[in-house]
Amino acid sequence: MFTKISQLSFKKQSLKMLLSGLLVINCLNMQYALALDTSLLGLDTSLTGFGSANFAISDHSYRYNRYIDNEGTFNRGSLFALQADIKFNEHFSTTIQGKLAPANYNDHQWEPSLTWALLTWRPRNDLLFRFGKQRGQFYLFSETLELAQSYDFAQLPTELYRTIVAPDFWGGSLAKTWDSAYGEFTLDTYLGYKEAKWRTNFRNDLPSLTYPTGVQYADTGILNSGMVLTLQTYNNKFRVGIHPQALSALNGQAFPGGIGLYSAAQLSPEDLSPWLSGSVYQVKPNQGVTEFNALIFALGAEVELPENFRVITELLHRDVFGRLVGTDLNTGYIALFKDLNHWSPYVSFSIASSQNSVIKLVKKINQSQGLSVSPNTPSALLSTANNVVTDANAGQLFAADTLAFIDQYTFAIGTAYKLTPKQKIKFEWARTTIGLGSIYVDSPPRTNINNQAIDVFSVSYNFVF
Amino acid sequence: MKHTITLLLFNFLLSSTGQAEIIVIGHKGLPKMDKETIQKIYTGKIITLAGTPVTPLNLLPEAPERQQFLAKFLHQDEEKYTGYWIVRRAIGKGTPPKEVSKIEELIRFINETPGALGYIDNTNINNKLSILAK
Repeated sequence: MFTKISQLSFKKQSLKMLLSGLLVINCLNMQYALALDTSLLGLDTSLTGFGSANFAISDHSYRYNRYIDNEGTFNRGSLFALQADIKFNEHFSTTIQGKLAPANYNDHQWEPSLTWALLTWRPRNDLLFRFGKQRGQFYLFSETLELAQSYDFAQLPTELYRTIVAPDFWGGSLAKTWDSAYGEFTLDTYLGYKEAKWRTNFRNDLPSLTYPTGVQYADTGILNSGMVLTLQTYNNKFRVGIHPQALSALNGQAFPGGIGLYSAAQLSPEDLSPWLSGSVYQVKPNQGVTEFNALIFALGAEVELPENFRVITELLHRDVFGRLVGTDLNTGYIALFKDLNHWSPYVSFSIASSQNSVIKLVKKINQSQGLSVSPNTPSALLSTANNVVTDANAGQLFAADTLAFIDQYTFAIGTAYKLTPKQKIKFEWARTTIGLGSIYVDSPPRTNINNQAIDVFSVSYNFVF
Repeated sequence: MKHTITLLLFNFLLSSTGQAEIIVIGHKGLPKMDKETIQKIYTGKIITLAGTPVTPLNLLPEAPERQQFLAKFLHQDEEKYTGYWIVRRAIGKGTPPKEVSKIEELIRFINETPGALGYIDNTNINNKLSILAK
């Protein structure tokens, strides 16, 4: 009951913040109409902003994509951002962008944060250096992830875009451009560091288990680096990127290092051993990993086709080194748009799947019967034996959750409608099919969400000013 | 074929009747430019030309001259051009050209500012202005 009231008050709070934000934006819009480009101490300055009000609702009571359930949410993608640009001269400028958005460290709060804070140095037409807080060009839309006005998806494909743990970082980047017979090439390189929160939902509701319960955020340090080559022709864009990352667990924490199969004899006190049978998968004790590396390969293309059709596709492969579990991944999507004056209807298909060895392991865990209590157990030991079995079997689901595995695909159909060049409204219906399971589903304790379809309806209003 | 001939005839009629044409003007000393250079200046890809900083000016989005300029020199419409700058500004790659509301203001700024350029229709041309592209 208390949880229900908390959820309702949280949703009301979100709605209130959303409306307050819209009011502020409207006031700013009026001011903007009076004077956008101003002169501050003789410098060329400008103030702009953007925002999104997104509502999404699914047909299930459990949460998908962090916030979405059958009660609906404004937290999946809603935000307000303001940006100030100061141009010192042709070569030097600074950009500061702040936003108010759902917090990245829990599921219940909004928080103001700095998205960009950088000094730009452009010594020549074809060279651009950026120093400070910025976004990596991981994927086609990762730099403008929150600037929903810049794309026509109501929701960017979850399978690929949720793989970004920390889109922004403090560091430096260099962009070099050059012309060719094929179009304009840009080579972007970047290096930076960010402390982020690694979100995992653990299926554990037993106080007797020492494992974490429910949604947990682990402090994680991420050293981002990458090199991206983009070819921009008049109507088309092609991109290839490689992104080495080094991740470290902070504050004395550790990433789970692997899971093993344990027999009843290994897990129960000696006096219970004769009465228990079976085996369960458990997190290996004392094998936590404090750091590991990942390598991401990404390909992307946005191509115009005849008859005002447009196709956008991206593919991603992630290799993880130094960690035995989870996160190796193949994912991608393809979307077909048709531009019809103000309308841009689209269909898309996206898919994500962990590496085969993890999928096989998850299959084994799902098929495992776990521990069981012999019917001949003496009544004096029965209660203790039942507790051991309950904990061990629940720990097996917990072990599966540490794998951070993904096996899902989504069909979506939607449309964007351009109200003005600076305002859009979008609608989307998406059906996500969960195969063996997915880290993007917050499965309730003692349940396996697999072989299920989740329908999500989204409506989104985006604006810039 | 029939459609192409009609277009050609229409273009011929327009040019022969002295229809106002959008031209690019600039501060004295700026060299003549091709469409590609103008396109790069107005999309922020060129900020200096032979070592001289360039300052492009735009009229407000409602101005018909702006729409004609975008179509003729950038092969874009307002929506695509605005969208381009929304992204470029948001990722810290520059800010769009300064906007002015009146032709007179644009001409005055160009006359006073080295490296400035803008566009007008050719009925507003006078001897003080340097024509960079037609």
